Amino acid sequence: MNEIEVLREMRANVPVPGPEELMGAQERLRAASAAESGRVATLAPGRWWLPRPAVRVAVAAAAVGVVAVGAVVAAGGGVPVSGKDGAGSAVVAEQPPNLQLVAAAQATGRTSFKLTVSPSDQSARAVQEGAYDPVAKRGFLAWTDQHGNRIEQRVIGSDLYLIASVDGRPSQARKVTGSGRGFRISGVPAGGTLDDGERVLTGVDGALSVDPDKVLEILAEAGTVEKAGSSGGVATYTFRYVLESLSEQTMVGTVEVRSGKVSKLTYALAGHPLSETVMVFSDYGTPVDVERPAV
Amino acid sequence: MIGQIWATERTRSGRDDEPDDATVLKRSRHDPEAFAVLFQRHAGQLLRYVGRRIGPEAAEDVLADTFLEAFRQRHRYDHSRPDARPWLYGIATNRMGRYRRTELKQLRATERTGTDPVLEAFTERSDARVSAGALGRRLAGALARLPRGHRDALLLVAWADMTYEEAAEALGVPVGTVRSRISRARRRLREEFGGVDPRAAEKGLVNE
Repeated sequence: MNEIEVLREMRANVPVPGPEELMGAQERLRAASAAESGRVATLAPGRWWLPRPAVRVAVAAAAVGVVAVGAVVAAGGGVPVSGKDGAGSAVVAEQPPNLQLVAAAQATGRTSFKLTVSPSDQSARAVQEGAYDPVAKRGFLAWTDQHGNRIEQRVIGSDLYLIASVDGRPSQARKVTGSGRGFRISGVPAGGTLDDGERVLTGVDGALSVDPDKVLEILAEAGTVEKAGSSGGVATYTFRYVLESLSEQTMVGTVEVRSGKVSKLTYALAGHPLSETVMVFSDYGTPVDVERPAV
Repeated sequence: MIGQIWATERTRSGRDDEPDDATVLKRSRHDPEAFAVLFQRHAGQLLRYVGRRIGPEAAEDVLADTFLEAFRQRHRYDHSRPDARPWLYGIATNRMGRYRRTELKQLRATERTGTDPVLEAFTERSDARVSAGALGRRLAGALARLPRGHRDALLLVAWADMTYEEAAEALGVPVGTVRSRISRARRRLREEFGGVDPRAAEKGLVNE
């Protein structure tokens, strides 16, 4: 009789992890070691919907940016309020910058777009290009790694696929396993340590679409947003957001809003200029035609 | 890096032509990025072990936390120990603490329903592979009823393929304690099967 042997049979059907299942931890470790060696490379290529804080930074930034950008739309600049003289003459006051960002985020989250993600340190991270439809919940980001391998992450509804051509072999698709993995645009521990606000900002509950009430709450309580100016139809905002889930690190950045939608988002971890990343949103309404790969 | 990980996986340090874990850790004191070697060597098997215990989703978090913690603590590593596995698995065991209820819940569900939710999460379907069978159900229930320290010791040996000495190092207890815990744990498991070979019980050779 050997209980150990019987126990080992319980382990037998647990598969050996694939590379995508190690990527989250690997990127967090890479960020930590790069930061300590003074060569910060916080955000991983193509990881914007995979778990973990490094990605969370990007997405939080994106969400804030998204949240931020659309604002001006509604705004047109302002909302009617009563004159304090009580004379009944309405005056128009510009919405606070954070509310403008909320509106922009919501507007961006209601349409498809192309997306380019460019790190400042391109020796460590690749430029990623893709498209995403937050309504249909379909999209992809693709990049070429330093070994010349083309990597794509594809989202179909609640499913996430990793498609890679490694070392010259034909592309292989693999569905990321695990219940609830689905469409997670950012990293949230399975233990659910993020509060509701962070869940909104990181897009966990619905990609780039955000709950207006929660976003307002977040921006009002945690984020600092200022309008830097407007020129040529582009409104620019600066923001600071404390990432409680990332050891209280502060994310700083700027958001450009054009026609009420986020057009460009630049963000970095405060004190880590090499972590700067630029996300460009374009081609709003573009068809996002991705198919479920054979696995 | 992705290609490298895709292609290679080591489970143990100490190949002749490569530095052992202790050497890698010593080097990482001055070259932090050298720590990645440790990740490449052990992450896959560690994730599989933790995944078996608490499921794939939570396991990825524990894996990341474990290596970050190890990275931060690397200056304290005892370089007389060439294999870092016990150290890493010890950190992981601590990190799994907050998922203790999850683990117990899954074991009890296996006992109750005959479907292993951990395997179900891995395979994303219900088939023969996630069916625990009578033997597995009773085993899962028995594991759930073990004291935490006993379960940790037993599973480090059974699922992480550690020796008693390595398990003791991982848990930070004397090897005699590990022997005692595993002995008691095995006795408890045996009792679940009426004190006989579980295979005999499964085949219906023993009256329940």
